[in-house]
Amino acid sequence: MSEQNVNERFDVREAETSVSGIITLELSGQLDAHTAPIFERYLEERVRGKGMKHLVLDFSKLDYISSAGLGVLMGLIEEIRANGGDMRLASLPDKIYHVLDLLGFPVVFKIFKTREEAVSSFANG
Amino acid sequence: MRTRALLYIAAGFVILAILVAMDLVAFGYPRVHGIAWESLRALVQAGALLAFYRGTRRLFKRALDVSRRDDPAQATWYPVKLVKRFTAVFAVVVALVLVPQLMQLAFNVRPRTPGTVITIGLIGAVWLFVQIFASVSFSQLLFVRQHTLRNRKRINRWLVGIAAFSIFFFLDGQEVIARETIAMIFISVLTFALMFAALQLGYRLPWLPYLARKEKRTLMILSAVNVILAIAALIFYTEPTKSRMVYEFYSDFWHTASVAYIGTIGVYFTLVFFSSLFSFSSTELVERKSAEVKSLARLTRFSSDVLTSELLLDLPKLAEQITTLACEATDADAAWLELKTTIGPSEEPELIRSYVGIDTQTAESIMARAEGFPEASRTISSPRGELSSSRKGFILRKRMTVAQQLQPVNGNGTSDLHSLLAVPLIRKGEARGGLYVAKKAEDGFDDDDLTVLEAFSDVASLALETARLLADSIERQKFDGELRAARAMHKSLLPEHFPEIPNFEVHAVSIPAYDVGGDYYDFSTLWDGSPVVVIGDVSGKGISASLYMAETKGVIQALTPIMSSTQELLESANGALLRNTPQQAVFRRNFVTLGMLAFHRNGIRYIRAGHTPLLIVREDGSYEYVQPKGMAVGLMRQVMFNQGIEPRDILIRKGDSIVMFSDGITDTRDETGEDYGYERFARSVVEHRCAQSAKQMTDRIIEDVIRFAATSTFGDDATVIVARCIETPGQSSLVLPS
Repeated sequence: MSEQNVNERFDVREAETSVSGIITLELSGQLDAHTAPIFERYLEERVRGKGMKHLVLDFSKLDYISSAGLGVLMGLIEEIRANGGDMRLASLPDKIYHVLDLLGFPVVFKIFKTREEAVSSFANG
Repeated sequence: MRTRALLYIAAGFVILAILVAMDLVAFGYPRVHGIAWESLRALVQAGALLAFYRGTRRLFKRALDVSRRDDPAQATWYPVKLVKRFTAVFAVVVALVLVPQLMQLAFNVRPRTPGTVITIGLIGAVWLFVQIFASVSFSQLLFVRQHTLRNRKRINRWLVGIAAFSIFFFLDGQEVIARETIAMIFISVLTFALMFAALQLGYRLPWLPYLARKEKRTLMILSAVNVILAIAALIFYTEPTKSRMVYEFYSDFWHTASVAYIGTIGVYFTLVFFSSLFSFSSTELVERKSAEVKSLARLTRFSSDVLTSELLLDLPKLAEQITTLACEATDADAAWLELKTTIGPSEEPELIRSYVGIDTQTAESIMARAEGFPEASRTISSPRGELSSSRKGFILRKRMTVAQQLQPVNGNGTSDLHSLLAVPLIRKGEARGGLYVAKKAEDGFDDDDLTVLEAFSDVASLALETARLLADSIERQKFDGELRAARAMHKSLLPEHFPEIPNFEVHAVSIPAYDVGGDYYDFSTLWDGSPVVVIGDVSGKGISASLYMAETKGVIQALTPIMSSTQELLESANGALLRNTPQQAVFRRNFVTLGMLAFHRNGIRYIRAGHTPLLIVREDGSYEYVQPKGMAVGLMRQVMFNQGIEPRDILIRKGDSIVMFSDGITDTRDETGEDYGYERFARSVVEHRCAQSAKQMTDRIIEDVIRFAATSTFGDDATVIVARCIETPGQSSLVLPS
């Protein structure tokens, strides 16, 4: 598996956000065992330093998520909640919502229809 | 061999000794002298010459066969060595020509004493022998790297010329030819023909261009020496000197032949002299070429070496070797390569990389953006892109202006490399990568380097691809071994017998995927004796999934008999599996989805932990999916997990079927990529709900899936468990565990 190819299959970038203290990440492509380390590295290098208290993940461009990807999400939310923060998911494609739903994730994660709703949910407490 | 050679030479001298005796006899009878007598003497001398020739040739024999590959005669300097040897011999010849000059001989047209006859006979014998020796040495030179047959023809023409010339002069000297004008015409024609033959001999010097500068200088000096020697000899031969008198007396015929022969030598070496003089300017070019030929030969040898050696089994080492060779072949300061290889159409391409004398980042910046090549970047913005689109090699020559030199290029990709040569690595008509060499010097590569490297890159990409295929097949064998182990393990973890559950008949089928997924089912009983059917799907594939499945099975088998409800069981299982999961803060690979169906005496309860929903098909053909809340096991901390579980009681009557399944069923795709899906699956179950037995029912359900997929191998494990109600359980006293 070449690194270059993996880079093409998954991307994560920080979106512009008007509300300070809330980090919004846009995930696109496939989050699986091969690409999960990229997400991990990104979190390590770019996000963790900023305190990472309120995090919104925008899944609108995510095509696929595997068990390894879910593992990252689980670890992430535990870490954030341990810091007294929260992570919220937004704009889930039906297929991904279905997977998360089966596995029981909606109980753990707050899931919103749009990124704006997720961001404003923090403001409303 | 050597004794025979010496015997021949001795025989020659014996013949000449006899000739001296003949001359002594003739000395007493002056009237014997005449054309007949001279002819006889010439013939006797010819016999001696033939003996000398055969002997000498034997001594030189090995050197005359010069066409073997491993012969030192193949070395470029070898002709110079021959010329040196010849010059020494030729110097002796000329010295002998001069010898009579230094001697006190009783001589006036003819010898006046028998002693003089003997002296002349002895000098003449040595003179003849040395000339034969020189001739053989010369012919050796003529045969160096020449087409033997054609060369032999040229030499033959030359010899015939000498013979004709000598015969004519011989006859002329004996005053056989009366008319002076005819003689003059003959002499002109013959001299011209002989000169032409001599020019032909010296015209082709195929070895000359390959000589190094120093060797050419030596050759020039030697040629000059030979020309001077030849001129000196000719002067003494043709002017009225004592030498001329002595040799003309000894043999008029062979004297003339010697004149012709030495004249030819003079012409030949004049040609050699000027040829080496004029080829001096091209020496550097030739030296370069020969270096290239050497490197190309080396690359070719490398290719044959590589395709058999253990290098093919060591892909990184092979890539490094190729890179190093490319670097050496072009005399570059840095070299690197990258090659995308693919195995099958479905496989991800793998990138092979190797760097020599350069770091990854610098190489990347050069490949991607031609960084550091400001002029070139106008025409070629990305060397990598250029290679893949044009499939042709190219050279980037950096010519910086003064202003640019004052402002060094910023960024970590800056390098001191100032010229770049790139060739594509092509497989099956497609550029799969590139081989790059770079030099610190500006304008350091030329078109010849490009040609050499292009030839090399073909071999290199073939070798790399072969090595990659080899590595993959070995990997695949290992993988197959692991798969066999995983399959065996998977199989051993599934129950062999189906439990007796009152009022139900139960059957299960699980088809492992090619690379073995983590589908799991099991039967057990709670502490109160209620049977439990468990279905699960472990994340991951292969051995790791099987191991985690074994762990799950162990936990469930151990816990079930001491638990009063499936909810308790799930919670404890989550706790146990979570404890066993390494707490690598964020990155957790393994979890398991579980679904449990408990057949209590007073009712059926379903509990779900992230697993696919339960399908209930009624006797009348209606169906519903039951999907209570519940999170996968092994992912979440206990409190959070416990909150999420929601047991669901299920009402069942005779003829109804409860179907548990894994997502391998519903996620199966046909050729068009369409999912089998929940609805299709449910309809299939509805259709087969009245099958003779639960076994037949599961078989038919699975057959439907296989038919849909149009292939017998699944991308994921596919499991179906059917519990068909054959008698409505009494539900009047429904007391479910709290």
